[in-house]
Amino acid sequence: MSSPTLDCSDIDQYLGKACESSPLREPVSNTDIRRWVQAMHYPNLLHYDPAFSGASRYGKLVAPQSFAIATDDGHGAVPACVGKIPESHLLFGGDEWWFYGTKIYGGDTVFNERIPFDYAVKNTGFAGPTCFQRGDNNYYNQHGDKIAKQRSTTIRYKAEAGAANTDMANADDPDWTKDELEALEERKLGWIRMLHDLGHGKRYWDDANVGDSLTERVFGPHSIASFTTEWRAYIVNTWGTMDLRINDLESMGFTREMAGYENDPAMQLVNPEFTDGAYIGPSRGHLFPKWARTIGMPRGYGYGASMGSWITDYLSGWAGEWGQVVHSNCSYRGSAFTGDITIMTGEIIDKIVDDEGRNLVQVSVKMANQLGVTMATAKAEIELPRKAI
Amino acid sequence: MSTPTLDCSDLDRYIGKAMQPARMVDPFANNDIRRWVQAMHYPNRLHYDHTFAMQSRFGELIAPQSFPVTMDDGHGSAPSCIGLIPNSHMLFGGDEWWFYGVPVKGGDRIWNERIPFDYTIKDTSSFGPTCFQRGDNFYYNQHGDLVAKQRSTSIRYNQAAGEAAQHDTTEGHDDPVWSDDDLEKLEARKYEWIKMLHDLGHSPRYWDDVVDGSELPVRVFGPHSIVSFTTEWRSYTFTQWGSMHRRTDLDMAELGFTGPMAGPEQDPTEEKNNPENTDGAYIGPSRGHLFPRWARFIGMPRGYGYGASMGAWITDYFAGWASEWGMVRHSVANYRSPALTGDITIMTGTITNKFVDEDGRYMVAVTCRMENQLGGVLATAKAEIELFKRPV
Repeated sequence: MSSPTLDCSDIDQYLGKACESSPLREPVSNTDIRRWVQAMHYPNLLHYDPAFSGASRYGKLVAPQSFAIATDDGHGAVPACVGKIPESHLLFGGDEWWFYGTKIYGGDTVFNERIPFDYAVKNTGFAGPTCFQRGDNNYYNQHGDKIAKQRSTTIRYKAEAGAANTDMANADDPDWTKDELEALEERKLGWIRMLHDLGHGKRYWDDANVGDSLTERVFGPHSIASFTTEWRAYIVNTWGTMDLRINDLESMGFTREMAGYENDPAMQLVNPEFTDGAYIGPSRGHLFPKWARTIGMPRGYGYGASMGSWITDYLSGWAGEWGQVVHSNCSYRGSAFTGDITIMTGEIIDKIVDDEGRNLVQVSVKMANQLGVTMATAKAEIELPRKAI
Repeated sequence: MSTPTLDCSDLDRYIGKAMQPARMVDPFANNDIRRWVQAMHYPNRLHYDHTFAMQSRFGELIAPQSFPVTMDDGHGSAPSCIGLIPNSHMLFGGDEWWFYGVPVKGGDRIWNERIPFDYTIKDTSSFGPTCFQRGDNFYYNQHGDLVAKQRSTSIRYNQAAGEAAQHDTTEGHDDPVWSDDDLEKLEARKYEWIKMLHDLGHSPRYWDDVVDGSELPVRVFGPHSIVSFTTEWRSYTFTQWGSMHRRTDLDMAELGFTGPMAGPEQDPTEEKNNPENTDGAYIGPSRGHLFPRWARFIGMPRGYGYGASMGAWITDYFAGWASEWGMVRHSVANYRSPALTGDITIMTGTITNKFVDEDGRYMVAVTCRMENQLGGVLATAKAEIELFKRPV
């Protein structure tokens, strides 16, 4: 069998030039915010409970920092997936975020300016020659205030190489006994209790110490039901919510059987079920194991963009409503699979006052499943409030 | 084995008395409407495409007639599932609807007044003694206009009898397999009804042109899947954390749900504590829909669809055909068996009468039958639909 090669030469022409956007047709609603935190397994009352959010420093429901991505038509992957790579497939590989302190509320509109950044081809054990492509998302609100910048990395590889490497030994979900599930629920509650204990209180920079561990966060088991819930929380996946750009997936190199009509604005007016990404198109493998296996995944698998949100939520939930993530850099190493749980741990590795005078802690994060397999790693800087002198 | 019994004596004290109403936290957004029609497999552009909707007689996006049920915290079943029946489970058995011509739009709120109506006990082949309980939902908007009335029927039965029906059998535990060719043909068949919607566009379905005895276009959708059922569940507004002012008197164990099905679905205290336990997908009486293991616990062979969705499929089937100038005035539906994962749903209908009612409205009476690909009956319905009269 000949080794697959990867022709990425078409990408160059797109670098540094803004891509077409797909604006929201409706302002964000409180409902969209609630659906998002529910889908992301993030039970922070600030983002779904009217009484708690009313009593917060914001006086009303506010979106979590992770929410910007829910307003994009490609959950941040678009500027990192331009140009044709013949017969290829794509996975979300990671992202770097900068946050500028602008909050999103119900009634706001979010606009995303997207600019392809760069790419590099490396050999990977997973799929041989693999393209790591990066692109920037610049999220603004209706006032022109910059909310966040996301530099996404996609991993583009030969679809046939992926399928050939499908690990069928892991085709079945793990079994959880009743006792194990009970113990798991208690473990999951640990991090939720941390949120409740902090309440509207401040996580003071003064009290944070290098070497401190963040409270462990556990959630899952993931399932087709939970992944579907995630997918449906991305606003684009509801019919008619965006002025979708015209995007020919086959011309980008997706194989015909995976290309489908996902996000196709013309088809959305004719037979929209073809366009919503659950049943037809490149994203179908997440929710249908048969299609997961055609791209190298043994069973239903989670969304990279959700992993990015889990990291942002983990850090901003810990920071409390008076703190915020100002920068993070995440590498996605392996997917969440149905039946698996996700375990997040973190440690404070530095404590600094930056040149803008902000009181920051630097944190490292690891996300793993119940077998200890690393799903993602991240480093982030979090701004915390300082005690009054 | 002893014959299961069903003690319904607790129900009497609730009949005829209003329960706590269902109340929304935020008004409906247009995207809630879009999510709903998407989840209900109802690609009528009037309800999701803003350009088409703006060119309609309404001049803006409006909700389909099936929509009010999304705001109720029991998708209309609450007043038909009140009072203790020990060791029981519940399925949605059908509903009767009256519609009053008040459209629902983004920005509107619905308030649902709920009053338990009656109950009766019959022997059924599936579950032995079975309680058929009915209750009324009165859906009002924020102006006090009555949008619709829904009289729901719940089927309440002994959980052990349901579980026993799945004991020692694996029949129906696997989804049917569809070949690529089958699926391709299916897509063409599904598109026929969608094309009917497009062909009709903004035009009226004239009463004058409808012939008594004629058939409605066939509507096909599916195959259903855990993915599509989850999509349905998530489009009911009440399944979302923090979306409702929840009832404070709802306790699944006090209704008689058993052990693993008695989780804190819809519990307002737990919603503030650990909301994943309350949203009905993973824990509580509704978990069987999305998790086959729990489906079998209550007598279903595999993941199964929501009764309330079947009601919406029927309303949409009639309303889509009637055009934006017509509407369903009244319907009564019996749910006979649920949609299962891997199955498709096939809807057919016949015009059985054509008349002018005492209010001078131009009406047709129709019947509807909903089946799966094996000819198994999912539901039957009758309805009266008001159509537009051609100007003289």
